[in-house]
Amino acid sequence: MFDEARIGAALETMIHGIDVPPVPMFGIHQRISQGRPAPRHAWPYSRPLVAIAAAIAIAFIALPSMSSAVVQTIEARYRAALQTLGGIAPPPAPASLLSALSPHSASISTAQSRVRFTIVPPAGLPKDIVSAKITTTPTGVYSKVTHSWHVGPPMVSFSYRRADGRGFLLIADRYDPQGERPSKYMFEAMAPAPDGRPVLVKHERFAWRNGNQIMTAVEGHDISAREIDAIRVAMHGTAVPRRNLHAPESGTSLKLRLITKP
Amino acid sequence: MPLALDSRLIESAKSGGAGLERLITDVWPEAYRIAFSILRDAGLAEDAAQEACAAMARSLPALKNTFGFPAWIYKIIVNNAIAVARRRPRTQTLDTVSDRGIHFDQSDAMDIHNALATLPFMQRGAIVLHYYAGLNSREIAAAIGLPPSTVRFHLMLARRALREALSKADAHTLQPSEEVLSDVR
Repeated sequence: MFDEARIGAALETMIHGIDVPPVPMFGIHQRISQGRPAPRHAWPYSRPLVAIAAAIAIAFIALPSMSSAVVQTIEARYRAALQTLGGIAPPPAPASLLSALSPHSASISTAQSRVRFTIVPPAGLPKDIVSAKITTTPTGVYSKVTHSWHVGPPMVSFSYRRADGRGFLLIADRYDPQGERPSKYMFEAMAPAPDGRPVLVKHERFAWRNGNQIMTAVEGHDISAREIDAIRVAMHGTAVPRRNLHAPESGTSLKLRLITKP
Repeated sequence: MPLALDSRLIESAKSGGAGLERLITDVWPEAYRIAFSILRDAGLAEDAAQEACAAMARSLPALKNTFGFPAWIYKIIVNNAIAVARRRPRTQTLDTVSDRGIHFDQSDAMDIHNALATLPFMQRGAIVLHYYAGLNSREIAAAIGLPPSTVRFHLMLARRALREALSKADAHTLQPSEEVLSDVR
């Protein structure tokens, strides 16, 4: 029989057996200063999407509970779309690499300890932000020289949820003045059409620099170009020249970014 | 009630700054675990725990009795978890999430974990406040805004469900199944 004490002890053991993520101090401070959040809605990236940059930066969005097979399917979809755009698609990333690209929650100070650039946090955010989260995620890097994949240094994602349920990401990475210019457009790869052709939605991508940090954001339904520019101005960021879709690639590597639902 | 904090830390946190960050750091594991045990979803639990910590910071200056802090913060955590459960996306099935990040060494804990999943969120909250935070039905009623009689009713239903689930687990453990018996015969 189960007595009260046994229920209490089992409950305490159960609760203490739950792993705890790092304290999201930045997000908590944002909530403290902004009052109560509005009702939460589904994260806008709650279906598997693929966001594609035509050249150097490749990102796709997955859910934390996705199996590696599903992630590989999405990754294959982005490669097909990339070829449709005339880009050079790298060979499939190995499953071991994809599994290494999982995100880790972090505070600003924890994130800073994991990256090799000085993090300048976002400022001038839209007034209707109700929650924020910081994660660091290793990037996958494909070398066009050695034709191989490896795990690269992490990027920092600032993900925000808005009062009306929309959510957007700002991605901070190390700025390399000798590196490839960021592409001007990102392509969101939807589920293929019935005849198998890739379905793409084009979005403009913005990039600005603060010291040795480059921050990027993609305009769309979740955040407008004007709001992104307000963030750049508030951060005193310098706009980084972007590469047009059909400009030739000059970099020696491609970056794969797996962005996971917060 | 497992959360035990130095009252000087709570007093120093009232003025914000480093003291508040230390208090948030101490409360966070408890807030996340309790929210997770009710919501069973890492993202929602983090949302609820963040909001509980923020609500704690906003209301802390008005807290007069620091000795009542543990009960006070447990109420905030459970209330926020229930609020997040109420406004969760209807398309999200909370109890189908994987159990990654949970480690139980005892079967009782696993049985409780599974049994809680069968309860409505309000009853999960009442169970946590009663058995873990040590609140009585009147205190729980004040915390979650229901009449004490309703809370007692919820607790009775929850206890019954837990006992049934756990007794079944016991029976399953102690008695060989029909299939095994037929093999023996």
